[in-house]
Amino acid sequence: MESKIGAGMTLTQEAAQRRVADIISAIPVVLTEYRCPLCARVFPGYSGLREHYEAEHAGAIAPIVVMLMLNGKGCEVLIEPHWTLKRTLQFRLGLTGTKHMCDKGVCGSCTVIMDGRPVLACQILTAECEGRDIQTIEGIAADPKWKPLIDAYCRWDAMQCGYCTTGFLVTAKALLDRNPNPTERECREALAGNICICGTYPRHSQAIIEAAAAMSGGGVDG
Amino acid sequence: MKAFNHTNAGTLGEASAALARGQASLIAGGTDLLGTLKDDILPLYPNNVVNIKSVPGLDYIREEDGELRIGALTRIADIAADGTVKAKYAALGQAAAAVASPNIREMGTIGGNISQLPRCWYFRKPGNRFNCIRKGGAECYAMTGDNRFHSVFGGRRPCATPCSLECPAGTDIPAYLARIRKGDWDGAAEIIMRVNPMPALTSRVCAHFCQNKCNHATTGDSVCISGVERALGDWILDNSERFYAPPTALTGKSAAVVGAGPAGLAAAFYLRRAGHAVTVIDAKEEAGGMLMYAIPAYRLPKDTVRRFTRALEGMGVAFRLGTRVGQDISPEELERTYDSVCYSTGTWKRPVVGIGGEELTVFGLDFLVEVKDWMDGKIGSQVLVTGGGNVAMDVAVTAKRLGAKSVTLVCLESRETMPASAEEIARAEEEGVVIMPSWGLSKVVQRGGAVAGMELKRCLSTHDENGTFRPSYDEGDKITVSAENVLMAIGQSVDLSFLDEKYKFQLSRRGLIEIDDNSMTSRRGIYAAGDAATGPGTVIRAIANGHRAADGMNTFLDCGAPPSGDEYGQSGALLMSDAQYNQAAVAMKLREVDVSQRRIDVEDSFTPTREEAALEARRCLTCSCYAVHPSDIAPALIALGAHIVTNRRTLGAEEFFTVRIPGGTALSVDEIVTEIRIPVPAAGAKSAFIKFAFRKSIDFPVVNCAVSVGTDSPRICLNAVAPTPYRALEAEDYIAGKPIDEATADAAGRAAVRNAAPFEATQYKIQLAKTMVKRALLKTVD
Amino acid sequence: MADLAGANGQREDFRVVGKHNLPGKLSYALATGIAKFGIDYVVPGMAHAKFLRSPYANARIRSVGTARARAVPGVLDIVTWEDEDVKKLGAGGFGPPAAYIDDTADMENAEVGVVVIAENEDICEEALRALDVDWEILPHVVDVLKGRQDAAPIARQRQDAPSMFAPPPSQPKRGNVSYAATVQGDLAQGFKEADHIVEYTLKLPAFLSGMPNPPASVAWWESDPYHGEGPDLHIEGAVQRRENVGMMYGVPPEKTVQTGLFQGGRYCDWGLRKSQEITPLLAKRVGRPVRCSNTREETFDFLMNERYMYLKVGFTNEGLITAVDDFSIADNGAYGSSSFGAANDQGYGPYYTLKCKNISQRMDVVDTNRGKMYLSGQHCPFNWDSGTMAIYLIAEKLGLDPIDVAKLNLHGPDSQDDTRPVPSFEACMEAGRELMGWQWHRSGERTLPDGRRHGASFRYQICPRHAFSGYECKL
Repeated sequence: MESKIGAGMTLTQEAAQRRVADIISAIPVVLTEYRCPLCARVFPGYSGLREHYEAEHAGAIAPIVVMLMLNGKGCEVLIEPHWTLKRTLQFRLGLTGTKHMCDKGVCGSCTVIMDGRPVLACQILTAECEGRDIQTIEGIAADPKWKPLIDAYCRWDAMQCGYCTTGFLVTAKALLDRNPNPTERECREALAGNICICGTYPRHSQAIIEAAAAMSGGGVDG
Repeated sequence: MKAFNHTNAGTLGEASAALARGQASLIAGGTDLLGTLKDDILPLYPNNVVNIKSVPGLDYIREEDGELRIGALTRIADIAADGTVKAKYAALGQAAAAVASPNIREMGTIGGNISQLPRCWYFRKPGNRFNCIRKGGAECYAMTGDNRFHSVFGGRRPCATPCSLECPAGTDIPAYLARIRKGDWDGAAEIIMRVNPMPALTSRVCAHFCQNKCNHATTGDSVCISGVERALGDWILDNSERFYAPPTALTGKSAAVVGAGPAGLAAAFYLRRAGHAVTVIDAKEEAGGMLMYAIPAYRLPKDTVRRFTRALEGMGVAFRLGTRVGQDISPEELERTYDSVCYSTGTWKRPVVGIGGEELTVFGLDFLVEVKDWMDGKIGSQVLVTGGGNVAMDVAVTAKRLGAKSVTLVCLESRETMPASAEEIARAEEEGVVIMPSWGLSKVVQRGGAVAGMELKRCLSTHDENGTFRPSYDEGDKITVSAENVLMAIGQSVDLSFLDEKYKFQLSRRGLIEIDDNSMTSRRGIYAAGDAATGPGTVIRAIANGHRAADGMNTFLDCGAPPSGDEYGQSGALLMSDAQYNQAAVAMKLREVDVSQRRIDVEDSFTPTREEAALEARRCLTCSCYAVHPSDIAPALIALGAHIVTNRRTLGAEEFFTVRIPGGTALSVDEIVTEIRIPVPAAGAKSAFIKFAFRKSIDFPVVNCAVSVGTDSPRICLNAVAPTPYRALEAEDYIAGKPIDEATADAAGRAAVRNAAPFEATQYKIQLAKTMVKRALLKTVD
Repeated sequence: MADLAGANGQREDFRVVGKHNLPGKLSYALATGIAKFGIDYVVPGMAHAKFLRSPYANARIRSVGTARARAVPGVLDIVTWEDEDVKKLGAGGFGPPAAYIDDTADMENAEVGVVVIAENEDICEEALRALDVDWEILPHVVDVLKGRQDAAPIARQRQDAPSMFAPPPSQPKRGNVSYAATVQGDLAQGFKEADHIVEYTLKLPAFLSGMPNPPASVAWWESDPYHGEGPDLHIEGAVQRRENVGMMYGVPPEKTVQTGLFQGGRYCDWGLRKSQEITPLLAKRVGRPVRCSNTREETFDFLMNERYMYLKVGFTNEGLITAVDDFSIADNGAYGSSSFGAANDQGYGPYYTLKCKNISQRMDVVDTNRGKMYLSGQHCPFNWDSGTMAIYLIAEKLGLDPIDVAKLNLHGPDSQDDTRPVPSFEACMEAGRELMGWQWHRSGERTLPDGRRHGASFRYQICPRHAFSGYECKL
């Protein structure tokens, strides 16, 4: 799962969109192997893993299988009950757009959308996500409908180091889902739970408002 | 975070049952719990996390039956956006909109928000680095450390403080010390007399176990509680007409108390206070029991005892002294004459030890009682005293002061576990008593029919692994101490010979009067208290037992409610510690008569002045939690008069918020909030909420305020200023009936902070609180 | 005013300059979540590692028993400071050569003694809890002012190397305190010439590291026949220090492979954390890729040290500074802290953008156990906060616009004696004032309609070093 992005290469919006779509479709729907977290032994079926736990790791809490509905696609994950959704996204699904910054629910960098609500993946237990509709930054980036928002963010350079950017973008998308034409004040209030150490704040509202205009058929202006 | 099992509960019952099994935590929004678990801040980690979001039907907002009803799992964001809430329950809507950050509002539930843990960085340091009072530990680190975000109205105790817990009477020590700090001696007196009617006496004789457990004692001197108590006790006796006033309402019932020792006198006091006609009967010529006859005058002046018993007479307690039950009056006659009887006759009999030559030894208690006779010099030059408690110390010191050339004291206990109080041991050694701990009695050494000494054997331990008293000895390690008198002060036995066989009393195997939890004996309406029921014990325990018997008798006489179970009385009280002075490591010492001047009939020590006592009271740490309650929703609910419905009961919002270990709610382990109910506001009522935080979107308020006005009972509730939401009663009283304008809102703000007691670092919150009250009130006018 | 347009004024065909709203090369990677930072990498077969961290501000491990930790299911290996491979690593960072990791920690949460490698982070944490560590708790200093006193315990035994940028010490070190001083001109004369003298004190608190992206790395070894003998070191998360990490392991740059390049905001803090350096060693030990991260829970990193400043400034009725007496007490932090947080920039010459030549700048630099400052601090002895405060105090006293006070005190382009205005500064200030609608007023004089006090600020950057360093443009 390495990134081949190196210095000198320019990534266009289209190339990025194709890449995230590939990342999402590469995630298998069902598990075909079940690896023991304690000794790395692999089992073809879940029951085998459970029996292994009872025999070799009695007293330890066995992993569970959860079926997630992620970016429009079902996917099974094998996780331990205490795993947050953020951890699952990174270590089971290769979705690293959702970031580990504070891990405390303060910075908003791990924002995902669940059942239409912008929520913090580091404060959600995977075991409680079965049947919930979850969208991550990758899902938004892969959706052509949201190209204007991604574009606006990039054109307004509403990012410096880029670490908090995906969190802001997801929150922004959730805002536009509910309020297709937000005022600047509404943008700022919706993003108030996203923290940026580089100080890009003034740019986000402008990018969102421009994207909103573009999406509702208005012209794109610099 | 560390691993746990996880359950998605399908029903409330399933969730509750999972919680009841223990070591389980309930998760709703998860925005408080997961941070708590990731940082592992609590001493115990759950084995099972129980999800309540999987229980359907707890997410709704609707008005019905004159109430707004909100399901406990309703998200804060939905409450903030709800039209009805915004229009009619403005304080709640504004509070919900102010909670934390937008994304947290989409996750957090109202049930979870009001159940969140306190906000204190010591409490929340990862790895339970500071096992503070709020977590069951012994210290509030914020009080002595960085407390800039903490309470401005004092702390609250999550449970009884160690000193109170150790006191057999459960005296609310921090509360009366707090009163003394404020100069409110009446208030202090009222608190201590709830459990102890004779502090002037106990302060002088009690072994003050409370001091052993004082949290100061780990690094310095414990608070000299006995010294402060003594100043208070003497002051109570000086103002006895106020504190021993006759009851205003009489019940028409009568009670007899047999035995005028501390248990009996305590029972008499509480019975008389309850309004009964009380008669105290005692075989001796003067009342007081051990207090009058056994404890030496240099520790407890007899006049002080007399002042107390006279005060009881002033209350209307009748005394029949020089009257022996079983001789001058029969127990049956007592039963016929009085509606209820309490036997508190103490332990005056000498116990048999079972060593050779025992008949040549003298009962130490007899010695004390008859000390006048002994003053004629019957005491020999070499005295051996056996026993390790205060009575033994009394015996040893009295013997020395009577002129014994040498006094040696032996006891089973080691130095550290001797039951005598530290001061008494120090006094004894100061006066030349030689103490030999960890020795047991083997046999009396006789010569020509007289005592020549005592053979001792090494005591290896006094208690076995289970904590049972079972001394073990090294029979091979023996020594002999020479002595002309051996005074045995190793305990006392109860003497119930005054009750003849016909008067049947259930006795325990140890020969003590058997009583139930209400202090009633096997005979209906007949009670017992003190050493007669428990075996030899301390004065304060006897007082506690006498009080309990009086309560039992009250109930029997249909005249009072049983005790509430709130042993330490003012559990909800906010107490403020003196943050500057409470670090002083050295305790007050009572002024004492110089060793060379000491006598047996004059008190050794002097009562501290009230100023000295007040200074010492400033050392009390209060052992309270000063962390604030951080919820924005809580004050809004209180302002709106909300009720919290759980799977067990319904409570008023104010009752819901309390200080526990470690939580801030009155919920029991398996109790779950299901609904919030707010009465539809009366016509003309308006509410508002306002919050001060360092950043508009952040997880906790610095000060917030919710108000409800426009009715004749306005409510003003501040939060993040105290361990529980703080209703500003003075401000409410002020603003009631007044129009709200700049001037009245300002005055209300001032009234709200009148009782504030901030730390130096939280002074700034006073201005904030005043302003928040003012602006919240003005907001209702906009 | 000088001709600012110059040669560029004649150009017409700009592709990038003057055009706003052009996306950066990396923008789409960042916005869509494709960009991977060190902590994001997950590779097949990856194991995790965590350091033992000191619970005390200053402590030494007397002994550590690893038997129970090794027995925790899922633990792959445990490496201690006594391990030969660990001993071969160097200290890194500032300071004379020292052990990479040893038995002593001189700040709370410092990595010390032991590294655990396990199947996942939870198991690492469990194994760390299962270590039997006998700690010797040493006296510590966390209060800078207390650490400065003669009776204070010594915060650390290890001494820093002399800094290449700081002036030589003005006195021998005493206890925890090193001394730096730069004095020029005639202070007494300068204060005599002053019409006004203002004194003030300012305490700058320590400033938490502004790193959103927790420093982390994943490393593994892989042979590639095209790269010659021996395996290549693959590492993600070392970012611009790829070669430094390679050197630690004797691997030349061409055999140190890193494909990712995203770092996250660091703001002058480019110091490598041990989590970015240790992974190659551990990967070799277990024969699998190993990941090590350093999140906020693990280390309370701080970017800028605490400082107490005492300033006395003399100035004329026009606002011209005639003398500056600047004394500060700076936190030198734990061993290995960059001296940029202390006297380092004094070597550039203090306050030398000012016309005033009567400058005394003294600093007591106090070793503490508060924490490690990894590279640079933005409050160097040029005291841009101190200087800014001085400008403001002068402005308040005289009722002048602070921008004008700064302009008056800035010397001209050629030398300190050059009194001509600096054209670029003038032009920037004019443009800025216009853009902001700048209307200076004394503090407390204006209130906004909603009742809040009104204020605006102007920060005067005296330091030439920080004025010239820029950030790479991403266009």
